[in-house]
Amino acid sequence: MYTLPGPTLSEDLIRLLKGLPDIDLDEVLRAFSSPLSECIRINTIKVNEEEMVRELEERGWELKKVAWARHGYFVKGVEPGKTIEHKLGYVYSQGPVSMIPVEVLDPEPGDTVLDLCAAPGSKTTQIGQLMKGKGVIVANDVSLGRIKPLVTNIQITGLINVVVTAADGRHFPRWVSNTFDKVLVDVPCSSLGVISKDWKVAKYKKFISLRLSKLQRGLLLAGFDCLKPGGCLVYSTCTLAPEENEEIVNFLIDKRDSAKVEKFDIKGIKAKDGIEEWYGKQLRNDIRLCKRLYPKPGFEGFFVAKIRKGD
Amino acid sequence: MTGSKRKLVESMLERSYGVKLGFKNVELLEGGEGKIRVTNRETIDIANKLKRIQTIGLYVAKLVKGDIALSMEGSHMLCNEITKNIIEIDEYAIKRWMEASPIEIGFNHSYKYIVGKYRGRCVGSARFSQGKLYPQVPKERRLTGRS
Repeated sequence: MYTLPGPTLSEDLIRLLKGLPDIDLDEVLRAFSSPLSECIRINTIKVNEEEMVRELEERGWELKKVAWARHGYFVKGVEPGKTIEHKLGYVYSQGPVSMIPVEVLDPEPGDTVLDLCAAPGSKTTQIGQLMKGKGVIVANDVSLGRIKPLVTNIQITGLINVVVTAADGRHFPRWVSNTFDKVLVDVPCSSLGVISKDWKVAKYKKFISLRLSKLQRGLLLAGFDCLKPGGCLVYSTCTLAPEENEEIVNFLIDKRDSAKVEKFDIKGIKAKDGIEEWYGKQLRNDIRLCKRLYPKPGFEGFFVAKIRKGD
Repeated sequence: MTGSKRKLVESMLERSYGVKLGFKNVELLEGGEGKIRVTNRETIDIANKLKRIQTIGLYVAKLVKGDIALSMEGSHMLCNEITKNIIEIDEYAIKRWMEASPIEIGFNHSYKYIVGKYRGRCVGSARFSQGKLYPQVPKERRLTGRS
């Protein structure tokens, strides 16, 4: 075992980290023992952004714009989740990097959007905000226990155009195949990108990734089948294991001829390309178009892939 | 919601809060316990294809024994139209309001529900009884001692 001032890392996790190309191991290890930056979105469904920034600054909030997320701000001086503004739905507390998948998906007013693994609703409410109350969002989560915070967060944000369902996401093509303009598949994962939030995650064993990957493959395939031809899907995780990331996207490309990985850029934050080879397994070339965001002190780690369904 | 029920809700909104236009260009849905939700037509069309639905749209109001109480979001949506049964809340009172603690007001009132307005934005309804407001804030949205 490898011991830090923070979490204790398992052998499997150390092996995984050492095997990843282009990783700044020291920085990742520092990130694991550093708290995440406080970050909010100003909810433009309810308030005017400029007015709210002014009001919050008058109240002593120190705000700094997040380069890669519309309406996102780093916060100092308060715990946003415990404020009146949060309870009233004027601001929403969300990790800075977790805002990226929805920015890549880029939902627009009038779109029909599926968020297949939606709870607790940070990304759903971000989608709703960008759609300005126009169009439709289907927010699904299989866990009844996680539906309550999802419903509460949708209510607090003030979204009228959301249907919440509690189904196994893999069943969705039975009901709504070829229906959505945009689909977000932000799957359950081993959470290695957010060890700083929960050190227990550092006890990671490889079998966790292998077990989750079966579910992730099923969810990605289902999400893709719900997409209209020409539609766009974003697959994301908050983990570092290629078995849950590149290999899942590679599986979809193998299974569906109409699936194409698309290039995208993220403003203001460094991201690495997707890995094309992992433990001797060669993946498709276009997998490099996916992005890996390794954890940095104050920032979560994420994996993001953008996939287009051909006409 | 049937046309006649919708008319009833609209007349209650006008009578209770002076709201004339009300929830225009949206669909109204009736939920359990007298709750009213709003959504759009496209959302209902998609919902008709789905299974295991938990909620549709936004909870905006509740019918309670012949009265209508606006939710935090319902009052927020209609805020610019509310002309009756509305009270300005100051910095002290908003903390009490968000804790769902009773707030004493120095006058009597005829209607059972009053909308609170803080910094120009409506923040939901409070039940009025014997000189006090009892803010209707869901438990999960209350400020607590730890907040």
